[in-house]
Amino acid sequence: MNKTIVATTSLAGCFGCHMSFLDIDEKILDLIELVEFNKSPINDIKEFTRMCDIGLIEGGCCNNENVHVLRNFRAHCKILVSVGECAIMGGLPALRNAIPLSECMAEAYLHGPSVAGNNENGIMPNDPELPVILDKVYPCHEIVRIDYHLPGCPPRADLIWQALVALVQGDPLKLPYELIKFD
Amino acid sequence: MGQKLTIEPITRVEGHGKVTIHLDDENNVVQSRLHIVEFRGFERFVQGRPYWEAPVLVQRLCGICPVSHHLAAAKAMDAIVGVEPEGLTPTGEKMRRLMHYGQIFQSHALHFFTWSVPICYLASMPVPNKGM
Repeated sequence: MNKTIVATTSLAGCFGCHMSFLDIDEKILDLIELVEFNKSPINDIKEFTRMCDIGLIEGGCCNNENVHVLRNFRAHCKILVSVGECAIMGGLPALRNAIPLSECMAEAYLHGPSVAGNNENGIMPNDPELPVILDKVYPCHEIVRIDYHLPGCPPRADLIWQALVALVQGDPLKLPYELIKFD
Repeated sequence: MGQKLTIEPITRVEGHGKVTIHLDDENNVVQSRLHIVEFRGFERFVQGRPYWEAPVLVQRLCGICPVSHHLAAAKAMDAIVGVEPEGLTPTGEKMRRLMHYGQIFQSHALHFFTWSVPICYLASMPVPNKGM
């Protein structure tokens, strides 16, 4: 049987969902039997080398680079999965959506207790290498079509594992309620 | 101006970094730069929220070292409610230390077993030089 090709990325997330994914612990050995990773921080492959079956997206979109990577994933993955609250609805970073971006920047670089008085010229990050920050944080499904959503902050390891196995085997995603409730 | 090499993304840190190496016409390195490409605005948006939320909110700064951020926020909240470091209960202090030692242990194991070893061991994987 050909292995399923999986790609993963972290956009405006914290890598917590990737960490939760790694929390499948020894099942990672079963995983290696089932899938082969393409572009992913797990194996440090930086560019797609082929079409993939499943793309796992962590994080929403807070800058133009996130949007570019997400569109690239949509173009290279047959099934795209939003993993975790940031990808599904912007998550915690979306708390800034109610605040003008200029206020957030000013607090981080001009007025915050660790920078106040140390930035007399009021320098903001302006290097052309840096991505352009978007006005708001956008969930992935507002940028591209997303096929599945795995909830949680982070989704527990078992949820990611069972969902991935179901997708690999072509089964319907019938996840038990205990896996997707958080209390 | 000569060539520019880009390594993106850097995958062994949280925080979405990028490295650019600028070369002159003889291919000597003129400058190497680390770019931190992500801005999320935690400094501003945690303001005005209930103070007991802070330790849980800032855990989401980094999914690799959440405990460190949790404990830093816990210390800040101590200061806000007027608890001196020596005013912590012995149990509270021990629990924080235990959490922190656990984080260090987990972090080292994580780095070794899932970041460093696979790169060395799974040599059949494509060499990660595409971004360079």
